[in-house]
Amino acid sequence: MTGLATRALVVITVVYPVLGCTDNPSRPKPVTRGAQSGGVGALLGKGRIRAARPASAMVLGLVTGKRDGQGRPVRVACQTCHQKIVSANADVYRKADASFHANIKLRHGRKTCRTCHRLPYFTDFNLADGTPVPHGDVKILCGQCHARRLLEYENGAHGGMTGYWDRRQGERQRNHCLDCHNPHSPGIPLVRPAPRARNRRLR
Amino acid sequence: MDDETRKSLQDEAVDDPGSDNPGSDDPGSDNPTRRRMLKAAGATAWFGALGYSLWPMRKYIKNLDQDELLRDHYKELSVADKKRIFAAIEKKTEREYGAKVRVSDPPPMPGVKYGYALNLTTCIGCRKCVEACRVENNHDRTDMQSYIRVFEIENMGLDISKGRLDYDHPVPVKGRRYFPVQCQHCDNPPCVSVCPTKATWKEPDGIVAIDYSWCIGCRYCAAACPYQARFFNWRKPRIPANEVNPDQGYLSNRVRPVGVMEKCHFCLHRVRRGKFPACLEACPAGARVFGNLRDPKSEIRWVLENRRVFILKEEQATKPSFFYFLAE
Repeated sequence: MTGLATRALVVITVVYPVLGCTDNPSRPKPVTRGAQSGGVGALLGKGRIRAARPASAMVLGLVTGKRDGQGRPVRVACQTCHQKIVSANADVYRKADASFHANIKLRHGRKTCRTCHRLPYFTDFNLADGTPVPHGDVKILCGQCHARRLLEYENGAHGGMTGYWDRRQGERQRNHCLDCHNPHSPGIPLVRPAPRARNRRLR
Repeated sequence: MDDETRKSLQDEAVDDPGSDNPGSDDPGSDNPTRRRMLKAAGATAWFGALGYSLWPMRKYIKNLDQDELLRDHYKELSVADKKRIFAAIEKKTEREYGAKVRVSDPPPMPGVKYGYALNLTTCIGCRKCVEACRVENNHDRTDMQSYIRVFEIENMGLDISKGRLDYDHPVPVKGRRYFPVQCQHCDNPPCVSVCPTKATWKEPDGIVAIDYSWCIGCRYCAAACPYQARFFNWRKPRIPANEVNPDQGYLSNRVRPVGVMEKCHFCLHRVRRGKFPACLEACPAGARVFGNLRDPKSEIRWVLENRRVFILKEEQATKPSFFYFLAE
């Protein structure tokens, strides 16, 4: 299980560095509610919900495990290979998986790469009907199967958040799916619990 | 030893009239110097015993100041009183802990009643909430005090009476659930009705608050609470100066004096300014939902209306503001 935990850690901390992007107004907001009872905050444009979004595929790519002169991890952009591989020949992918995607173990039901990743460049996702989905809207992709989770997320009952419960007074920051879940093996990694609460005793 | 001395003194007192006679038969009582010496020794021993028995009180006397003793109940304090008292608390905290703090008392917001819901399906039992509570509320760092306890229970039945608090293995374990329990902020709070001094009461926004300066530490409330959510301050919390939370509320997370009760207050100093409680922000699983029960558009209302919600110890008729639910 430690291998799984390490891998999840790597994926969460290295592969998906969250760039604190602001909400795109064109897409549906996670919680679409106006400021309550028209407070001053509504007039001042406060009470926005900033939902974190995954980084674009341009800055993700394959982790090579090597580091450049300044100590940064060297990544290979998806397009480097996937620009050329456009055929639907399954063998090509299998070979590519073995050599390049060694750190990705797909343990997510009976999914294949193409269930989510979109041809030709693998920089975007596709829904089950082939509709392209940008990286930032990954929750729509996940919501195809996990509709109840998506419903809970959009109503604020799933997913961590920080900031203000009262949106008249301030902003709220929300996690997105990939902040907590590894899409390739979405099992929750084991964690060591923090020290428990002890009742104080007279000494 | 004391009793013997006193007995011998009493015996002598009975013989006293005769002792002044130089021709008395009693060979012991004709010596006034010895009697006086015994009396003095007895008195010294008696006062010594009294002093020794009171000696542990000195640390309480040292912690008391006149201002604290003569303070009014929280509800009777004027704005000027509060200003003076908060300044005194700030000074005291700086003197004792070496940390600059700011004590405040945000008033309840109108039209707000707080509700809390916890998703038992997603809670992984990592105790991050326990830790966040400890840091936020200036708990003792050596005793690892916190207002939240997390039970590890079997998946079937949700019976916390068979739960374990002391698990220390990597979590989550398959087939088990994790059940955090803290103050439920009941609408019919048994702790409030038993308090003999009215040091604890229900605020208009639903928070059950404690006036630490008014509490006499009788612990009736701890006995009355069916959730064991109240804790007694056995001694002064030990916190390093750099870990003292500088944002302190008079009714919430100021460093509590010795000998009073304390409990979860929904991070009163945070939520009354519109922020989330510390335990919610710390939760990595996003299992906690907090909001205004009076706002029909709030998250907490969505949970109550759309999910299978239950409350803890419903048969106690405490009407908690804290709900547990299972994701569908």
